Amino acid sequence: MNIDNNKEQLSFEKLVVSSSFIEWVQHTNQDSADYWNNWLAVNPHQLENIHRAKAFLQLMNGQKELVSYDEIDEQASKLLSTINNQPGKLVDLVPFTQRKFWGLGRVISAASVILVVLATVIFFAKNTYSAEVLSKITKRGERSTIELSDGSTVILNVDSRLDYPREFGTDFRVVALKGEAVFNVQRNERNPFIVKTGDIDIQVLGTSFNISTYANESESTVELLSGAVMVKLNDKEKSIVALRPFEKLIYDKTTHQWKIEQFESEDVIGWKDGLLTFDHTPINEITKELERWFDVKIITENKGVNQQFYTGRFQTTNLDKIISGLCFSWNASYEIKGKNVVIRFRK
Amino acid sequence: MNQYKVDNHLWQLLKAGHETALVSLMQFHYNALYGYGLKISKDVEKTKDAIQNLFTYLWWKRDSLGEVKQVKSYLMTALRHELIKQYHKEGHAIALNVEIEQEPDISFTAEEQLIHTEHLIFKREILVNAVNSLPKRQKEIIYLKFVAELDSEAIATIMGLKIQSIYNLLSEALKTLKTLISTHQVLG
Repeated sequence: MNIDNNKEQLSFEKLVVSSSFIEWVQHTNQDSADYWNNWLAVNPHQLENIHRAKAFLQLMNGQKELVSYDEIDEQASKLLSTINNQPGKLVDLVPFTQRKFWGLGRVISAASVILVVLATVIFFAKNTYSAEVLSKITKRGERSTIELSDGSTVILNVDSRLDYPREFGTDFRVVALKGEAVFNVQRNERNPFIVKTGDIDIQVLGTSFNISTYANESESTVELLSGAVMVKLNDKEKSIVALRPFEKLIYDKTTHQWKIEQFESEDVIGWKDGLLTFDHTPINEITKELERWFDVKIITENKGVNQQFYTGRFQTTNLDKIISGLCFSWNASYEIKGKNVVIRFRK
Repeated sequence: MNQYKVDNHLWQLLKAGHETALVSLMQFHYNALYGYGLKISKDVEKTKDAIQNLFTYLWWKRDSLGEVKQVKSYLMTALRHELIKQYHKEGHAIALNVEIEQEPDISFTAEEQLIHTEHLIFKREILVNAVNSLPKRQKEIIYLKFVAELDSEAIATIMGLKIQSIYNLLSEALKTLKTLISTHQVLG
């Protein structure tokens, strides 16, 4: 930035709308602070002018209202009871902690991350004294809803397994998942909820999210619908990633690479309402998914070198309809015999 | 993902009947709505009630909600209407010839510790009085621009004015302020 020859009078009107000047006054950006401190050193005759603008912005900053998280949560519960017409009902309350990621910037995010590291360490230390553990296993074609002792619910998708204690202890609520599930976690800051999978650990306060970690898939994913979660990865750096609502973490189990994408909520959790959604999904993933849902074996013949994709949504009640829909769009024929499905592409 | 996109997702979910989306929208925007509402109504309970009414209304009307460009400015506009409506209900226009208030009158306040800079103490009363002496519309623009930190398009939506009017009024307001405060010395 060119400071030395900046001798022009910066007017009050210009200063108060300059974003770097505002950053300086609000202490939100070190570069801006350096710039304006230097600028002031070089242009001492502008001191009064600068102070007027600064005082105005500080006055404006002082007009901001910060309502406490507790108060906002109280208002949110009140809203829920009004719309449900049931006084005191406290379901589905999204924890407010997520605001920290947006509102107060990096400092707070960093603090949250540190908190999780500590929390996770304590968890591993205490885990050896675990209480009676129950397991729920769903077969292919089977789904199940589990209510945990704290009132949280888990909808377990096909071909999955959840290990959970009969009673949660007084510190951390820990469950282990293989496969896919949607979690609706009861909010409780004092007892963080942790989902362990082989590759990633997810820690939440109270929230709704979907985790998919099928062993025969190369990727694990976590999709956050509401609230806030921290995901601890099993990569070399033991990265910890914070997700915002409608963000999806994709973790490659072999390369240990990860990325965050956005998603449409219906696409991800449609399965819990009996919907299967494909979005430019390659045929081999579609057949794997169908095999899990309907407990069948699908063979494709003459698939050729060109990858086939499908985009669309199905009700998961009727395999025949899904296969016929897919084959119609792929211009293929099919045959269903008991547990075996053959899809034949035209040569 | 930025707040703007999150808002739009939540808006779609709200229209589809998800309670959590309604609650999230309230949580995300509570500070902004409360701050603005308090400036208009000057009453904590009235402001909280108006915010409750606003979101309850959104829930009952969820099936007929249209698309909105910016959820935040939509919410602030709705709150402004709600508070002005309440103001009339309470019979502030008792005498028949009293002109109906269409614009809120925002007043700025100052806390002692806020307005002193490194070496100089600015006479805070002068500054606050200067801002408060501006016409109602200009004060509201100053609030929405510098406190709510909204862009001119959003401010235009909320106040029901054209963008060009916002630019003009803002520039007028800042010029007036500059004149008002530069006649006073910054005190050492």
